[in-house]
Amino acid sequence: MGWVGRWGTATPTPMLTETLLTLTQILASTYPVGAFAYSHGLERLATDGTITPDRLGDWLTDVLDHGAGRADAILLALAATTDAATDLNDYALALAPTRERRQETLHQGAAFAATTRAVWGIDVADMAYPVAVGRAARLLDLPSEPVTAVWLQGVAANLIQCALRLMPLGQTAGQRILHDLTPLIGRIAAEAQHAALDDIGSAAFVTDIGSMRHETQYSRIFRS
Amino acid sequence: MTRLDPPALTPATGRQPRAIGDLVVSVRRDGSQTRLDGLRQMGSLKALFPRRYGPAVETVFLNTAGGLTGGDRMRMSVRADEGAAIQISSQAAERAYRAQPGSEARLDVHLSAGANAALAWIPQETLLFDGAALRRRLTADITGTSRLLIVEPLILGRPAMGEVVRDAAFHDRWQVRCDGSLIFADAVNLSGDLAARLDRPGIAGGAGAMASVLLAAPEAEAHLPPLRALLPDTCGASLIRDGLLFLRLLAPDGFALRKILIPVIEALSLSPLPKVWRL
Repeated sequence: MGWVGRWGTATPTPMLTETLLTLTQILASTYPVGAFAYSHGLERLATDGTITPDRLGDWLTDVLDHGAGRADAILLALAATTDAATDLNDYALALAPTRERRQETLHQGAAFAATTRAVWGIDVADMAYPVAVGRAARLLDLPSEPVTAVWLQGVAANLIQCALRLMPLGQTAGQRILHDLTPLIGRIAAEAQHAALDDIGSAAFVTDIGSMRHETQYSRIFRS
Repeated sequence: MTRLDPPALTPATGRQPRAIGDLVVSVRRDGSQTRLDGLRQMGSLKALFPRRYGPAVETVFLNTAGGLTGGDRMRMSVRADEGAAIQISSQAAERAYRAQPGSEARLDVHLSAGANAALAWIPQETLLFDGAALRRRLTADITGTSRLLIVEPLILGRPAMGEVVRDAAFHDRWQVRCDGSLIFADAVNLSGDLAARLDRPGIAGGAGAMASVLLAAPEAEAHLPPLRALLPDTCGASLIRDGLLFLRLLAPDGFALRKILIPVIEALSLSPLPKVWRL
């Protein structure tokens, strides 16, 4: 597949340009999945003062390493390398700890699948977002590990975009936080390639509670 | 592929298990009452049946081994047949002690509730001590008219008593199926330096105790507004989908958690608060 799966390793056969461009197209922030509407509970945590600009990097680290990030990376990688998408989708949806987090993954997944079906003519069903992306990667013959990594980076980038609207944080500071997450994203994406379903586990309790409490937030600009 | 089958009661490693327990309790409806239908107790798990105060069978289980450590294998199965009601709690907090390197304690719980049956699983706190390794699985099978309440409190070290958890492994897996379809799963991995982990802003924000609470019931939605009014800012509740209510609670310590949990249990259980749960 042209990708030698370790970060920092020289790749003797570079990814085909067409493969690379398909990957960046479906994972671009402009791909119409509506990600901008979902803050993963950050809106509530920012309003409560729980997450401030100086804690944003630590919070993102927790979401990626101990929250939905790692869990979704494993689901994506399994969907990209097996044909168990239906079971993976059932498990992904069952794992949603709150109503808004369930909507977040369902709606983005359905929008992703609809556009990808229409443009590439592949049979990717409406599923939880990471499972739909993994399934599309499999059907489009995209390499799992870079898709996982770029998708995770997109999740983090979107939450930083949310933060720019929720707290006094500048564009450059936001990009610095995203840059600092690069090694972590690479590590999670690599580990997800060797993980099984039972390896999925999270501990992002504050984040789950933020999402629950977002449901009753009086004034809000995000759907989650 | 997502079904988590309980492992056999023999350890896979060939290591001699330290303690084994197996408890099976089932109840059935008999007229207006629920009666005990089956009871099997093996090894260090025992069931007690205190005097009942409501229409449900009250059960309290007890681990006579006095805690969990590496190599322990505990299995519990509770069933309420059609129209029956049971509430099960534990005689004492479960203590997960230091395990030998490479070994872990396993606790498997299976709950099942038939049509119009009610099952409340309300054990007291699980306490993780430094060096603990605990792998827990809870599976439940219910129907669209069943009522299932699960309350699982967890205490992660007791700093006030000098007990700080610097190294532990806790894996918890829940799966709930309704009429055969997976409707809820929770998967918690907490390992390594728990004291440092819990201080993280996205994880527990310095809390030392937590609980997860699930209510699967046709009338779950009606409980959401009154529940929210009971909860402090460190806790949340969500109706994930129709008939499925989930709560996460964080508190500084076990006592503070209990003060939050007791009114939550009283609001969600059909039976009076188990005596063992009183402050």
